[in-house]
Amino acid sequence: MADEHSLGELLREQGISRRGFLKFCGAMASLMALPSSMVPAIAAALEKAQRPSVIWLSFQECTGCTESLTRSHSPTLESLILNAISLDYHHTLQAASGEAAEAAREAAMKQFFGKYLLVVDGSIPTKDGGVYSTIAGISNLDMLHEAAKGAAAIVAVGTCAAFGGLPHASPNPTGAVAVSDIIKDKPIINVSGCPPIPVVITGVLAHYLTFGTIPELDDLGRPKSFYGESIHDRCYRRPFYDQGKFAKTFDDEGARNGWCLFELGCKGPTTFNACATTKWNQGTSFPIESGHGCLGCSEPDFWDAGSFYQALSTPITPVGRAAAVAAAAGIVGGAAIAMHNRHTKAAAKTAHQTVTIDDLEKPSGEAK
Amino acid sequence: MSTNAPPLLHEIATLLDRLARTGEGGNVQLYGLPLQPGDYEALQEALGEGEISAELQALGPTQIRETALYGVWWITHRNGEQEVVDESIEVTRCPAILQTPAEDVAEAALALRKRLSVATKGEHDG
Ligand code: SF4
Ligand code: SF4
Repeated sequence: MADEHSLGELLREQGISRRGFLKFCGAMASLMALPSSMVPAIAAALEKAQRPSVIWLSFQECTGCTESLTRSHSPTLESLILNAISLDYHHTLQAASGEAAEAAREAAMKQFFGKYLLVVDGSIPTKDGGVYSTIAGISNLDMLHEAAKGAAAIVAVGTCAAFGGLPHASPNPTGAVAVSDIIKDKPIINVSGCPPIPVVITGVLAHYLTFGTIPELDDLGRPKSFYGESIHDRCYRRPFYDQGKFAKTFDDEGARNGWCLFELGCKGPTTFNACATTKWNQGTSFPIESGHGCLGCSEPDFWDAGSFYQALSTPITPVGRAAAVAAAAGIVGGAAIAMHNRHTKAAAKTAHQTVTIDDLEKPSGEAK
Repeated sequence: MSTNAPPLLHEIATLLDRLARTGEGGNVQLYGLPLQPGDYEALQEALGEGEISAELQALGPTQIRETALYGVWWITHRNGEQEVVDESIEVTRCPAILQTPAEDVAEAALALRKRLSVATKGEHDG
């Protein structure tokens, strides 16, 4: 249960020195993509912060999002953040189960009414009265309605909670929808990704902890500090894109030279996420570094947006000219391409193409 | 091929100028920059190794090294599992993380006095 101790007191009780605390605040600043000049302000805020109560509900999901969080990038930092919140209900992580667990949820909801942070992973099936996913005999739909009432804000973790995700993919047999399709009167932060990058989940918790507010969001409700730039804007293969050097198959000379994966279906230009800079697996690499294009997993309907191996769209202008425009416009160029491609993606979605083994074997250049 | 190192070096040069003129430096956050393969090494090579190297042990090790360019410090924070959690180049005469926090100084004075009084009391008793 949340108590009256401030975070500063709590950390010192755990034997963390002031230098250690400063290091923690510095890491939090980079986690939230804030400049280091903010560290003193962050330190002052965190010193006094009260531990917020967090209720975490897992609905129609694969537990990948919770796995992602518990396999976090920096165990000390993550466990500190997890210690810094009071996780009052999480049916995968908590020791209690059955009635005791539900009682803990109800008690926290009552005690911290209007103040707790509600975290949701998984989509919500709405068909046939929501019978397709239940916890303790309560449908996800009912539990969300009930838990949302007293929440200060809701964090929708993962593409399923944020946009419907895989359960929502055509033909959507359970009538799965996103949190924002149901709850209309609470601030909702979408932390999309399949799964989301662990530090992005904790970065949002860190922001709430530090400032007591929700971070600035983009038009899809995602924190701008993590989803403000596309994979393409920050991709280290971008110079090859700008020069028009594309790999045509996964094992040609271009692929071996590390050229751009656009023609092999990379969705980097339409995908807003922090993979290119934050990376995966303890900061080891991200898919493009391993030679595979981005699947676009942090975007709505990524599963129905055409083949993973089909190029987004053929450049309308000869590559040389497109590159010159992109180079002149810099990041704006990337954003413009992304806007353009969001339309293309919508078109692909209506056509609903499925992936066939041919797609995997045939370079997209030949397929066109 | 290195494309991101030269602009960073220019930024560091600007910060050094400012430190020399006004006493106020600044820093370059390396964590989260889209460095290309080779950029990191190119930066390290350009800055070189200086004469001070310190290690802080708090929530995992932190390496604080002055580069061959006086006033330019390379700071790498790691967690308990040796993974880098934050990395930056600081342009300053002494990085803040090396300086003792004022509250710690006050607490150290108190702690020493307490120890002395216990010791003196012990002497009298003996
Ligand atoms: S298309 Fe993909 S591989 Fe090419 S530069 Fe953009 S994100 Fe990188
Ligand atoms: S590179 Fe693309 S598909 Fe892969 S995790 Fe990041 S956003 Fe998702």
